[in-house]
Amino acid sequence: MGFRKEFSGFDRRVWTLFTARTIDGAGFSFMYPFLAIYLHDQLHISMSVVGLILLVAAGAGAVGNLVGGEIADAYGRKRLMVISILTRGLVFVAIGAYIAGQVDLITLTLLVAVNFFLGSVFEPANNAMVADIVEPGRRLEVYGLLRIGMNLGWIIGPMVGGVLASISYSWIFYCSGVLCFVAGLIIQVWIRESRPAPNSESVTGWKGSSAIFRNGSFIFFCSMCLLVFIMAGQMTSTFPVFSKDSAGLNELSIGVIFGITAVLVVVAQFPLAHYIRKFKTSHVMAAGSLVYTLGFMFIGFTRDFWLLTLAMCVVTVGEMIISPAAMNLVASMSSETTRGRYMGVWGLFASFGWSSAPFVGGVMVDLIQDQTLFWMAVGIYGVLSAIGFLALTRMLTSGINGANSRKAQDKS
Amino acid sequence: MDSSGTNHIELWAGIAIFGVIAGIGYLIIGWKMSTEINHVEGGRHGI
Repeated sequence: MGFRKEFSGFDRRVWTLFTARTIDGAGFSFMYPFLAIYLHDQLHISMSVVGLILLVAAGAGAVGNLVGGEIADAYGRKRLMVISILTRGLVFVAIGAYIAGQVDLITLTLLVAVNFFLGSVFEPANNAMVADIVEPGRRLEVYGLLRIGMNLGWIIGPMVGGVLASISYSWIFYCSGVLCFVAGLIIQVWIRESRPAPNSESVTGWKGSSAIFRNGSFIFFCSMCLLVFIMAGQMTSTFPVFSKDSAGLNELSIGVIFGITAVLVVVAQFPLAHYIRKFKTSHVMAAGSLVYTLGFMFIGFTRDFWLLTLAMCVVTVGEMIISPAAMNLVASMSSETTRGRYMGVWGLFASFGWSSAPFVGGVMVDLIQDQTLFWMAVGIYGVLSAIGFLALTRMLTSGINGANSRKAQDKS
Repeated sequence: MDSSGTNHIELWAGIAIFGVIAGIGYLIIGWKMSTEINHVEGGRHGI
C-alpha cells in the first residue's frame, strides 16, 4: 500500500518528537484558551490590559526564538529542548501556585512572559533536529507530522482545560506543568543528540545570527511569511469576535469549528505534505497563500455555522500547505551548522506576525466598517505574499527550491 | 446553543474521541514502521 510505504522508515526520534509534541501541545492548550478568560473574569482586568499582557508575552516569545536558535547551534538540540521544557513545566506550576493566593499583575505578567519565552526557545532546537535526522526529500512530511501532533494536543486540551477550570484555574497550570515534565522526560530518555559536529566554517556567538540577517533572499522569504502570518492570525483574533458578534455563534460552537479544523489537519496533513513535495517550494508557498486568501474572503459572505466551518477548513488547508513548506525551505536555505539560527530568525518573524495580527486586524476593523470588505482586505495579504513567493523563485537555486534536487544539494 | 438553535456538544465529544484514537493510532503505526538507525546521517555527524 502506497501510504504504508510512505509512512515507514522515519528515524525513531521522529516519533519520539511527535509524542512529545502532542503532550506539550495538550499542556499548552489546557492553559492558552483560558488565560485571557482568567485575567478578565477572575482578576477583572480590562481587555486592553489583557491584550497588553499577551503582547508582552508574545514579545518574550519572539526573543526566545533567536536565543533558542543560537543555543541550539552552539550547544546542541537535545539539551536545550530538555532544559527549556522542564523549566517551562516549573514555571507553569509556579503560576498555578501563585494565582492561588494574592495576585500581583506585574509578577504574573513576568511569569507568563517567561513561560512564552521558554516555549519559543524550544522551537528552533526541535525544528533543527528534524532537519538533522530526516533526509531533505522527506522533511516536508515530518514537519507535517509534528503539526499533526500539535493539533492532536489541541483537540483534547481545551476540553480538559474547561473541566479543570471548573475546579480551579490553578489546576490548569499544575496539569500543564506535569505534561511539560512528561514531554521533557520522554525527550531526555528516548532522544539522542543530532547536532552536526562543528566545522571550520562554524560561526559562534551573535555574529552567526547577524550574518543571517544579511542573507537577502532569506529575509525576503521571512518578510513574505510575516504577511501570511498577519493574515493567518485573524483566524484566532478577529474571526472568533466576528463569529460571535455578527454570526451569533456561542463560544462552544466557535470551539467546535476549531476542533473540526484540527481533525482536518490530523486526517489530511500527511497525504497533503506528501503530495506537495513534488513541486518547487516557493510555488507551494504561493499556492498556500492563495488558498488562505480564498478561505478568508469567503468568511465575509456568510453568517451560517456550517459555511463558516467550511471557510475555516479552506483556511486550514492553506495552513497545512504553508506551514511545513516554510519549515522545509528554512531547512534547505540553512547549512548543517546554522540550522538552529535560521529556524530562530524565521521564528522571530513568525512570532511577530502572529502577535501583531490582533492589532492589525483591530485597526482594519475600525477603518473598514463593512464586514465583507474587511475580509476581502484581509485576503489581500495573501495575494501580496503569493506574488512575493513567486518572485522568490528567481532568487533561489533549484538545489534549495526544487523537490528532487535537495538530496544532491545536501550531499554537496 | 447558538443563534441557529444548534447544540454542538455531541460534535465536541466526537472530536475529542477521534483525537485520542487518532493519536494512539499514529503512534503505534509510526513507531512500528520506524527504524532505530539514523539512516540519513548514518552517525556521520552525531555527537
